[in-house]
Amino acid sequence: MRTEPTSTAEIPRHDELVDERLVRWYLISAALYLAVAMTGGFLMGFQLIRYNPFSGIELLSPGRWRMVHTNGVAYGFIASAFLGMLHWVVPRLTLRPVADKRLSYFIFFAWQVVVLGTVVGLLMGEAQGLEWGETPVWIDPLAQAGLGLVAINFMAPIRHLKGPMYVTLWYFTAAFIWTFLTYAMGNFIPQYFVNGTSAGAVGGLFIHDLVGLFVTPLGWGMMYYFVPIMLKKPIWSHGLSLVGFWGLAFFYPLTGIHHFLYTPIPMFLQYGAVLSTIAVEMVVTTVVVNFFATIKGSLSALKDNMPIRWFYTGMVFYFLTCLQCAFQTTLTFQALIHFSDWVVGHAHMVMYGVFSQWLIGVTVYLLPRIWRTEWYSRRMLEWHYWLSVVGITIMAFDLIVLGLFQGYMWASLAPWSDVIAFSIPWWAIRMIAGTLMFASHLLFMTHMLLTWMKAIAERKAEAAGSAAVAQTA
Amino acid sequence: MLENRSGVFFIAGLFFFALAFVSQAVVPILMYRDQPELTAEQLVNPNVRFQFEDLAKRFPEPFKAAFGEVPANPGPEREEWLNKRAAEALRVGRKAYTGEACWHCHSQFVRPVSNEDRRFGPVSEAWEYQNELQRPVMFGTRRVGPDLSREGGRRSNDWHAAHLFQPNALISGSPMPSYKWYFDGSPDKPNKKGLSLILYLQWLGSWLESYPYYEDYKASPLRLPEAKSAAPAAAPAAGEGE
Amino acid sequence: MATQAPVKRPTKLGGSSFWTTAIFALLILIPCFVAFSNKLREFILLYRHQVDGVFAISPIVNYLLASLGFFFLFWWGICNGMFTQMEQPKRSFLEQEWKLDAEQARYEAEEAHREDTDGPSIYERSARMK
Ligand code: HEC
Ligand code: HEM
Repeated sequence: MRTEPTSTAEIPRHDELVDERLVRWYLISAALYLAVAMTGGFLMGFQLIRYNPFSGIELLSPGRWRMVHTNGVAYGFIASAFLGMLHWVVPRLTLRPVADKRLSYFIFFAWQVVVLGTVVGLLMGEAQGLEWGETPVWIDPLAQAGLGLVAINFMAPIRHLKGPMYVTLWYFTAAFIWTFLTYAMGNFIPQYFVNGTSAGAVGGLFIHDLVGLFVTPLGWGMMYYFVPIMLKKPIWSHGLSLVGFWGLAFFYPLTGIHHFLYTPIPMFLQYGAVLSTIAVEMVVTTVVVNFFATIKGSLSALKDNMPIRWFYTGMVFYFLTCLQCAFQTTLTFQALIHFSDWVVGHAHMVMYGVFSQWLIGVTVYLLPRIWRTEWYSRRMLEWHYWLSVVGITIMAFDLIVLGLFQGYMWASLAPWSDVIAFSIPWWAIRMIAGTLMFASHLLFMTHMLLTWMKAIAERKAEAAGSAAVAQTA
Repeated sequence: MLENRSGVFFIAGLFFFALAFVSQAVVPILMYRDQPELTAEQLVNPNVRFQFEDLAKRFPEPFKAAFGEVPANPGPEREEWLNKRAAEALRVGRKAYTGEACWHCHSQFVRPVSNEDRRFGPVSEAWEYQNELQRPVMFGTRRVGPDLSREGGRRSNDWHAAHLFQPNALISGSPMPSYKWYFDGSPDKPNKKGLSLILYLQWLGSWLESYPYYEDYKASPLRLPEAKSAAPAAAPAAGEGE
Repeated sequence: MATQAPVKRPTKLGGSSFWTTAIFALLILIPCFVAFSNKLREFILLYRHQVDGVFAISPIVNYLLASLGFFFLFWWGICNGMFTQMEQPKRSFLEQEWKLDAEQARYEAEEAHREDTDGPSIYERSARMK
């Protein structure tokens, strides 16, 4: 299927477009941050099952590490990995380099400062009282400026395009603008402009939009780019994918209402929320149908092609989470599951089951390409995959079911300690699942190291080989 | 940009985005302009004052170290001193509450559903959050522990000190972390942050008429069947705390 | 896409994919329209009857405005021919990818060939080049 290049001059060279070193740095730092974030989840999880060997140590306070956990995941892992991916995808899609390479490096270092500053700030107890926005107030402006620069840097090549754009670029463009606005909305408005319940409304919208308008568009844009490349055939229907994009744009914000279902006046929400959720459900279906129609006929790729397997696993989870959303928006369910572990199960399923799986898939694809080698061991890749998928499946299922039980027990006015006693075995299972996930990630990091060393060895051998050739000549 | 029609559309699109953004802040401000945000000083009500003086009596040495000597003679000066320090303590306490992520395990929101008003107290209303200590608002998203928005007055200051120092000493099997760094070694020596955190907890719900609020399960519609209800209906309530 | 479209292909929507697109579009648009009008109605009712309405009003005003924003951007897209030749980008993008890869592979092979012994390898240079 590969077409031989006919004339070579018409297209810029890959290494003039893509700064591979930056991509590599981002992907590796993302993996490191994920390890830190998972450690945070572990500390909190062990506290919940009442086994905390570090009890009484201020800097290891489980609450603080819980915030490191969520923020590390969002700003350390997900954002870094996305930035790395963008540095690869955007220039290649537009055939133009980013606005300025120095700016790219500046952003890289600024972002490290943001993430590390956040972690340090959180551990010192400086958190801002906003979920997902716990970044201490003194870091917010820097993060905001960073996001602005990111938008400028990547919009420069996109701006010059003429004619119909590929759907990935639609998603990315939207994400740059939305993320900037969403971050500003969530971090500054409730802190400086409004307070009380209306700030609560903004906060709810922020959590919702962060997933929907930052992570989702970048994630789907990425899928629309990588899946056709891996499968070596175009997406089934580009028109349908654009319907998906505009559907998301119009209707995603609408469903944000389900975060207000517990407010003093829940009645008004009942009707609209359900319907608009159905709409989003349809949007999601279009996207999923599109991808599954694309892989039709190449199903064996699921077995042979690791990135494809990660991608499609994530899509299955995506569909499941969205299905779950449909229940969540109803008042009946909100009454039951709000504040319970159902929400935590949902969060893990989205963040790990979907977006992390995709990002890991991209890492699995890009790193060996950048190192000009193959992964060190296929078996390790398989283990990595299975451990993490089994882990997240158990964790999500366990927490979601537990959430239902908790909801019923609370409503039945069972004593609080009974609910806790009931939850503990479930939390213990969650820790087992978490261990699988953590193990899979440590394995992955080891694998990265081994592959990197292998690449170095290969380069050396190659250099020696060519030296030998030169000598004999 | 403006030379053709499509440019106008583009500008209009961005304009409405910006407007949506601004409205997030402006609409609530307009709506609540008759409900100004209360400062911590205004939040110091007699209930809070009572607890604050109680702290001064129970933990005299730590209190002195944290806030200074309470003026001995009754009079406006003493009043002012106490009010000022109490407001300060509320702020410090709230900072500890956010920094420690108590709000990731405790909500401050009683919903009108799921029998929550029976368990926790009166359903929350918007005006309760219209103050400085709810900026950003502490609704919370998760309940590992119970809701705290009606916590004030329910437990004694001693109880809170002992509980924060080591929760499972009071509630066996409590998964709440211990906060030993708010004490100088033992539960009877809370430091400034510890005292403030306790005051903050006592402040929660102190603005309500039905303060302090204890669970009242008697009127629950979900009473146990006759055979089992031989035990007094209040038993779960007692069983829960201790 | 950039200045491309070297390959001109007929880009008419095929029968089945046209209908899939159309049906999904309708399935999405109709419930959303209903939902939206519903919310608007609720919004007005609330505003009339309750002081606490800010909860409802703030997000809804917001959604209205944001949706208007999208609406205009959508028209902007239409006016700029973003939706003509709907299916073309998906092919041209892939072809472009392949060209990029082929070009890079050719270049690297060439470079590796005329590598002198003590110079840095192409890989090291491509990493350092930036
Ligand atoms: C791991 C989650 C967790 C964190 C973090 C946490 N708590 Fe708790 N908290 C609980 C649980 C579970 C209970 C119920 C069992 C008990 O009373 O110990 C509880 C109970 C309480 C109670 C008693 C409520 C009552 O009247 O029965 C108070 C007060 C309290 N917590 C305050 C705090 C404060 C203040 C912080 C932050 C410094 C905090 N909690 C952090 C889980 C947590
Ligand atoms: C190593 C495995 C992991 C463990 C043991 C773990 C554990 C936890 C724990 C204990 C909490 C707090 C739940 C609560 O308050 O009741 C939590 C929250 C959360 N975790 Fe994890 N986690 C793990 C991995 C991950 C990963 C990989 C992600 C995402 C990529 C993730 C995303 C989240 C999110 C988004 C929340 C917030 C949930 C909410 O507030 O509703 N976790 N996790």
